[in-house]
Amino acid sequence: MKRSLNEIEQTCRKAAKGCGMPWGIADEVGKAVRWLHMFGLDGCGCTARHLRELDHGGCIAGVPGSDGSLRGWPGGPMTPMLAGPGFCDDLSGLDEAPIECGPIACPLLAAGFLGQAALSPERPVQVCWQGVEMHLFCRRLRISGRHECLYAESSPTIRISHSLLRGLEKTGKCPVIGDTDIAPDIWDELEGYAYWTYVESTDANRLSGAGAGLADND
Amino acid sequence: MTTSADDRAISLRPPSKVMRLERMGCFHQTRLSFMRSLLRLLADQGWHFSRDRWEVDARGVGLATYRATGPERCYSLVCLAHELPPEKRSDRVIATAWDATFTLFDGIPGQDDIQRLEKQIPLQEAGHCSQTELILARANRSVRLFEHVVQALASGKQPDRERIEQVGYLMRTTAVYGNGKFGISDRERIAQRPEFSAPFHCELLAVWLIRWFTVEIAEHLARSAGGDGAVKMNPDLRRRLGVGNSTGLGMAPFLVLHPALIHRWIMARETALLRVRRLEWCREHVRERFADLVLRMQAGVRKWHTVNKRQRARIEGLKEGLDSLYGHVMSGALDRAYPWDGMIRWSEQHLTIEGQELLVTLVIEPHADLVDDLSAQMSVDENEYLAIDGSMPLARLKDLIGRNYQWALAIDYQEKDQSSRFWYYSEEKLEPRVGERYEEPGADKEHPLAYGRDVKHLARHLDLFMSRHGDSVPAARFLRFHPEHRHSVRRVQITSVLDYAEIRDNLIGADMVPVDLLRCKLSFFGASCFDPRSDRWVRINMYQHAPFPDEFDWFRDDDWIYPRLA
Repeated sequence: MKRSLNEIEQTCRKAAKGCGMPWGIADEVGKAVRWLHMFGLDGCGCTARHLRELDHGGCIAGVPGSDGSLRGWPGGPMTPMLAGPGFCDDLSGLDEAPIECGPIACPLLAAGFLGQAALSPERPVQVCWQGVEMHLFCRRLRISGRHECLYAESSPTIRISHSLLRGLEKTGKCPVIGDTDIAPDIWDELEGYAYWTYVESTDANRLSGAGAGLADND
Repeated sequence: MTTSADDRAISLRPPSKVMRLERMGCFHQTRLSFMRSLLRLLADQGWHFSRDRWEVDARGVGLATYRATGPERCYSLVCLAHELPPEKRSDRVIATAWDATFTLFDGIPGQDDIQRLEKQIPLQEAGHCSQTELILARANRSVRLFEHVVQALASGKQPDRERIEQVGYLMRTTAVYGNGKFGISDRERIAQRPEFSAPFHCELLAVWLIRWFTVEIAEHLARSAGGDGAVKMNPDLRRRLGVGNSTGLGMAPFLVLHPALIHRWIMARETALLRVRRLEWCREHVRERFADLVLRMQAGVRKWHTVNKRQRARIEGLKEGLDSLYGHVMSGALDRAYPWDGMIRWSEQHLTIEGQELLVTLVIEPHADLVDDLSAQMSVDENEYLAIDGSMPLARLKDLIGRNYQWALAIDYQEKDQSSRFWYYSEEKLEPRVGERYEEPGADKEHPLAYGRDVKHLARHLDLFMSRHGDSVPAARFLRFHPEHRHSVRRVQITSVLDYAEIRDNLIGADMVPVDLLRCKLSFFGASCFDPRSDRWVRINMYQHAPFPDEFDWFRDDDWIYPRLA
């Protein structure tokens, strides 16, 4: 079924929240997945798989070191849903040093956060993992390297730096604003997670919660 | 010698004054409101309108399409009229059947499109649209008025004017969806088109065309019943009909979750007011026009009906206020230096808040040349404000909280009355609702609308964190340990650069009145006749007194919203 970008954003936002992410993170998950789909990348699939893994305890939140830096943990790769926003917060520090850490689950999703946040066309950002190179800023994207690792379930490391690629604003892929096919099982799974953010409807709250009675015929 | 505007300290009204629920709940439309700016734009660009198809049977069931043609593009309102069994009639969003369903189509639909739309559009939320559909909407007939109008016209008479004024519309929309909902086009896809660059112009174009349909289907049914003896509505009477709307809590989260957009809307309105207040003198013809507007508004307020006690009291106060205002104008208030500033200052002493905010509307109105450019500044891409400045030292973050959230820090959210409500989405059609935190389940699924409480919580954690790690630690590091505060940190940073981004009231307190939020948003749409039906939903009228598309070529009074009522 085709889904609009807004449907994708809102469903993934609520799915992330339904799986326990804080609202501030969930907001960015929705934006990141939207950004990926604007460039034809299967953000919904990544999100569903990753939330499933989180639900099954297959990866961890990613514990900050005592200095606040992001690092992996022997128990499993860190989730891009917390690492991605963290990378975005540190973008201004790229002038001093690239960010390099891991292991990380679903690195493409982490790149989605960065794509949304990397707004400056003068300073495109490069994200690399397992031979994949993504050069991005908000309105352009170029992917090179090992495409077969684009959807890797996890990567030992992820590296974020300023991209040295020039002319990205002319050569990079442009976003497409439009609907996109999402596999029904993936969508159902995301809606299932999103459902956890809704309150069950009862006769009482149907009557009182919206304050309009059951019918307001006019 | 007169003082300058600077000497008089004429500046923007502060957010601590403007962004209070009690005041926002008294906002009125202005000439910057989106219905007003849309009709101006359509007139300026020379749009024209036609009815392309009318395949509605004698029972009022069938298909109609209307076309809006502009300089570069055209759009079609596809209307599907249905037979609605009485037991299924409900204006709640949770309803599943309606008298009519609509979509605004991008271009002219072909027969294949029509066949698809005839299947999907009546299903509304349960169906699925495509990117060629820009708006999805539905409406029900007014039980109080529709049949009366049909019967009167069928018998060759005009309907009763008083009944028309009492209700104000033949049909009432119960939802108007845009921006990607249920598969329709994302706003981003059309936001660069001049006709839709302002917020909600697309939705409001659909509503304006729906208004045309509501009258034509009533006239059609009258003709079916009365044959040659039936008459059409008198144009003057017809213009007294708008489109009704019952607005529930869905609009409240929108206001809270779009801080940059709300800032733009309020900033445009406040800037318009500021520009007028800084005028040193009032020209004679403007003075006359203003006095005329006050008189017209007096007549309009006399016809403002509501059963809501709170609003009725406000309207009574408003009537008295308008009498005082007229007397003040006649006594020469506009003959002094900085007359508009003087009048606003006068209003703070002599008018209720409802009256003060109506005066804002009225003083802006005669100054089209001075303020209309602000309409172009009311859109924004919220994504521009998504990024958090992770390098901001925590001391600076704390300082911003102290500067912009004193109102929240002063509230004791441990008190039950200060946190007794919670906002949630029901599983049932995702209807937004407000619950009683200490009396019903669901608070664990609260949606993040209580920014005051959350920012106060953030402030406490910042103190703890800074006591351990120092106050120069960057926000990014704090957020790694406390991602639960991410939405609040972002909010604090946004309100530090966008003055009007935050509603400075407790949105979960026992005394919070949700309709105040709804009225604020609806005033920016250009709605009128606010008639709260409870503290959670409000009836309104849209486009009442506006020209109809079929008279748009010659009837283009920009001040249609202030009719000369007998």
